[in-house]
Amino acid sequence: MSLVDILALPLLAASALFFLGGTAGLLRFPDTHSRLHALAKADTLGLGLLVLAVALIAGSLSLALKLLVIWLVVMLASSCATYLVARHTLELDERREP
Amino acid sequence: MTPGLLFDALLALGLVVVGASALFATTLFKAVVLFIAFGLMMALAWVRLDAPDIALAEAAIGAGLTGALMLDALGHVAGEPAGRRATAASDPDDAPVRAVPRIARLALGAGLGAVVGAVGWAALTFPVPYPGLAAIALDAVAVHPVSNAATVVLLDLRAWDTFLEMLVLLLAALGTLVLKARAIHEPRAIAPALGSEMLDALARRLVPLMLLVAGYLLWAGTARSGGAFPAGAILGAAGVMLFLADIGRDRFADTRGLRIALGSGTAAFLGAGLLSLAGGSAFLDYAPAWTYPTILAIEIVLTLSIGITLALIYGASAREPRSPDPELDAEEAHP
Repeated sequence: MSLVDILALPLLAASALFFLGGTAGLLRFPDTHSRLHALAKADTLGLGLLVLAVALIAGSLSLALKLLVIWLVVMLASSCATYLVARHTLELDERREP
Repeated sequence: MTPGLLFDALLALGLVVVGASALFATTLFKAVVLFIAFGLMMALAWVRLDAPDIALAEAAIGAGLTGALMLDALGHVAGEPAGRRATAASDPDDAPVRAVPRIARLALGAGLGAVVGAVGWAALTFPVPYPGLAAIALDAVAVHPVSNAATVVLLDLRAWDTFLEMLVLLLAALGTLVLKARAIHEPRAIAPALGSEMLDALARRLVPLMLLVAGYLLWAGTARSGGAFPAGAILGAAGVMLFLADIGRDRFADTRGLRIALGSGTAAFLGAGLLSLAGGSAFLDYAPAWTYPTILAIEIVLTLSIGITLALIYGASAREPRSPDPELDAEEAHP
């Protein structure tokens, strides 16, 4: 096992933990807002740690930069999507309980 | 069992489970979301099968654009009946799956099952090794000026097929335009989405990036995975993004330029075919010296045509977002 693997493995394990937590939250939390809150952990930290680990294993700067761009774009898009879903839920709640 | 095989087994199992869940979902919204998840997993399966070109197309068209079209369609059909519809946005989650008679479903299932069974039986009873076209195709790819096998097959060896696919896409776009011109009455529609400054800001940052990726995929298509179909799908997705954020809607109005773009993909193939006929060879059998430039020219025109056609198919039914609700935003700004 190389030094890179020793560095990457804990990152991968931590990433899996965040994805697991995010998924559990998505399935178990009672309402949309708290589910979104749980999902954000998987999107940002989970994917971030995964990207870091894969970039280490890839061992190429251009590949690492591409992975970084993927992480940034996913964060940009998912935070926006989270905001839109949360606002839609808020609107539905207000219509139902005026 | 190796880790790769374990992953593949889980993926295959997941595909069947997600596919079945999409078919048996209790609401249309769930079915659509599961369908999108199925498309993404299918793309992953194509990657595992060493078919990155199909994976790109599946993710961009199968999951992305088709998903966007289905979600949009849901907004048109799944609302409350017109009489009871207030300005309220109704929750698409409440839309029940329209009941189809059991006998019709059984007949359809039996028919499709018979087809799948027949194909499976045929595949299992083929002589091994099967004297197919693979060897001939690989020989042709080896000496072809374009090095990406998928591009060689799509735009040269099987150009007739791709030409007709473009014709199908053109017909779909024409059908959409006709429906738009007829302004089909929608008795059950969900109120359009709220406009959003955040979506606007996101679109203004993502669309330039998408154009860059589409250009890269187009260029890469001659040597690596990519080409007109994934590039065009990304362009189409950029168009969907613009429609969602309500940017430049008037540029997508039904103009002469747009109609020319719709027909240009089919026209490019026709032109290339007529040129090869004029040169004395068969339709779409390019002269050796002209193969590379012809394929490159077709790829460029096809990318633009596919992108604009897909964006138009989505945009024909897209409605303007409602103006943002200041109350909702104020509440979030000052909780």
